[in-house]
Amino acid sequence: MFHYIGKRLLMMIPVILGISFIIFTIMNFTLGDPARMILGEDASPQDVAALREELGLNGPFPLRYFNYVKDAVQGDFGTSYRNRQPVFQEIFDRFPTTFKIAFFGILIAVFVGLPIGILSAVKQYSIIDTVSTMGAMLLTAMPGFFVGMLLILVFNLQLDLLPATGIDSWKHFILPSMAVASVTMATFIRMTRSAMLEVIRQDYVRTARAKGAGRSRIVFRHCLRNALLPIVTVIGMNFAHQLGGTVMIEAVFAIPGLGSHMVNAVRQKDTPVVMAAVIFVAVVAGFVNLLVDVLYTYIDPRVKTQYTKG
Amino acid sequence: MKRFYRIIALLLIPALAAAVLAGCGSQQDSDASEKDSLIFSINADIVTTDCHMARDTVSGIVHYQMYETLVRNQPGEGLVPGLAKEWSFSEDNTQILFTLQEGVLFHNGDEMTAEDVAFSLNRAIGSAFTSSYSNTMDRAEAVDDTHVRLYMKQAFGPVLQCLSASCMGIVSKRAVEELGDEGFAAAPVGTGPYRLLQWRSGEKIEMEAFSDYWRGNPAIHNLTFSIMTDKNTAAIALESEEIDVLYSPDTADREQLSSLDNVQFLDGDGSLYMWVIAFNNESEIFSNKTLREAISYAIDREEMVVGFLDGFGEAVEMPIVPSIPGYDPTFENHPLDLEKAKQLMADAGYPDGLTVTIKLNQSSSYTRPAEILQAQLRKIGVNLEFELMERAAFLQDVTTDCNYDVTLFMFTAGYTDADYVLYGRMHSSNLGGTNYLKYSNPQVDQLLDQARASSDSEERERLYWKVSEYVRDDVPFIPLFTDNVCIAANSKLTGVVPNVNEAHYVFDYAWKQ
Repeated sequence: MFHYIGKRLLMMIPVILGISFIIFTIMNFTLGDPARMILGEDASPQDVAALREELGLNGPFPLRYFNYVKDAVQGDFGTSYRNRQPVFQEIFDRFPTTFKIAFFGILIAVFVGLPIGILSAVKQYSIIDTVSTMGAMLLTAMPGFFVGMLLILVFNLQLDLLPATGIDSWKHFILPSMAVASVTMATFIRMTRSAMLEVIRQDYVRTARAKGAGRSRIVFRHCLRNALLPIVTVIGMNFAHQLGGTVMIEAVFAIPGLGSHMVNAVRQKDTPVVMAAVIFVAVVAGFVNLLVDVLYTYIDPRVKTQYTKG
Repeated sequence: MKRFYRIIALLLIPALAAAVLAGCGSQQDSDASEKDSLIFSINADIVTTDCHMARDTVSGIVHYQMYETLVRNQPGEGLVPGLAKEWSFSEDNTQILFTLQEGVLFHNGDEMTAEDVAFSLNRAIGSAFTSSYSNTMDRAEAVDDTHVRLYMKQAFGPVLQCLSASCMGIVSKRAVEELGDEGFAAAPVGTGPYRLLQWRSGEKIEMEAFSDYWRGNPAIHNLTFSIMTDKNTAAIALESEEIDVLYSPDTADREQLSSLDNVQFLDGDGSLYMWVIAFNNESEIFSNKTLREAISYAIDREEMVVGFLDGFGEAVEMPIVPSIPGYDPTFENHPLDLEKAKQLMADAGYPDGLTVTIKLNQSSSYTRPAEILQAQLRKIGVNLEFELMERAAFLQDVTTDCNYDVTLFMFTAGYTDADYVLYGRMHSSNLGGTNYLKYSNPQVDQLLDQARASSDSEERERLYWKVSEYVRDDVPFIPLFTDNVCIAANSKLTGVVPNVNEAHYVFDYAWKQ
């Protein structure tokens, strides 16, 4: 097992190198001058040229990429072009906020979405199934920021129960988490339903029923346990995705998260910040995926034997 | 069915519990008589807390609270003495002697001296960020304890306007020298009515009133700038009283905000933004003056003001916006005359019309008026094809590399003077720089030089009128319209004034008793 985890961690190195090269290339060869973005459209060409020199933008591309990787390997990811602060400082400042929202969002989506999905599979074609399928479809159709706006209108403006903007207390996290949850929840409902339906028709479920096992024992122990693999995969993927920040939802709730940070950096052509943020998110996503793979072995012992063999 | 209801009930319990718990929490004290805090929302984060290292609007709004300038541009009043009590110009207007206010303290307790002022001005002059304000200034010197002399490279009419910009703020020399540039940005020291408590990047900037401020204590004690990038969110936050001031609200929210009892929506008088059709005067297509003229005769400015700004703006025929001295409503540009335009198209060599690519910043501030323009020009056979670009790409490709034929853009005056836009965009010394129109005309250069050096306002107005005639007749660009700056605030707040310079002094604000 540890052998496997170690191998997976080593595999992240070429992945991250590849990502860093792609991002560096894109940032370098797309139109737009970081120095111009910093100094504004009315700055004199001399000032812009001087700042370009100061930021080290004038060297040949391969050399600059090589220097970047050389420094990065030694732990120096550079400073933001814009505010001259070390790039990871701001990422670490913002990550807890993004993490909380992603975590609570997933939590809500799992605790609401899974039971609904299970129920609609068990009661296939019943009114519950129809209502939940329709609800899931509706949620899929509504983008998260739109749900966020609706939540603000209802819970903040109409009912005056919850704050709409900021991150000052735990109450501030409720609405954004619900908005984040809304989209993933729909995925979870549909995923759970179809995964459950697949196993519910299996022979071993019929056998369990024949030998007189209790209803809840059949649903949770025989069906859900076996349906869990694809569900956990989807949960993990969504969680990893949201740890990169949700730009629109952050904007709607005025949350200083990773997503808006990255988008701003891209707009400002702030390459060191973009690089650091993308690498950071890639590493986090890698760890989440690893965690999911490890979870597989607990859910399905067959997977474990594969790992130990390899 | 029974089970279904039970499950719904089960699902509702945690939701309700959360709602009730949230409701029980302490609501913010809304007692206006004791309120002395204020939350001001801004639509982007500031770049730095160091006033000399940024010149964007948002950073300026924040810096105006922490730093002061020698001359203050007081909304509604114009230029008034700031940290300088009075000033006098030398005979040839190339030197200005400032007499400083006495007894002004910095946030660190030091008294402001002439040394600090001269140091600050020199630091600002040396900064690349301030060059559009300071490029005519040479250096500043302390004469004695209370006098500072500013030496100019050349006489410059709008110099006092420039000195009132936040990026020409006065900082503590000792603080900068002891802390260095980066240390100073972490713990900035100015003389303003508010001092920085903390800046939480992307979230908010917190300040408190400076107790030894020389003009007395402000009514607002705790000041927070809250960063809300989404203007719809900010409008809702203003409605639910989570924020108190929203600068530059989205015009789409005007009706909704105006209808609320707890919000005052204040419309300003004009702005410093002038939308224009900018030509690359050296491009293959638009070096043809007759063609530029034809387009000028096909423009319906009023339709743009109504279609794009719902009528809250003004058509400008002169290349100067109404909020800037020198604007004259009697100036007439080419009237809308489609017959004449079509004739000119034929004269220009395009009797069958032409198709041309217009490069645009993809923000709706440009694409929406460009759509109206597209429809107008179709009537004379000019077919505009849009090429939308990210702002960074646009600034590189169009305003830096001049790799364009025509664009619809905004000329923004950095200070309330016609010099900023006209000299910057049209003077041939700015070719390869801010003159991305690639326009060059010795007569215009001479007029602009004269206007820049003069401090006689009547003479300057006369000169800018002449420049405007050249803009009309040569058509290097076509002025279209301007909008109104507006600001929305809680209706219990007094002292909020819309301001074209976006210099908002919270010092002047107070809660109604």
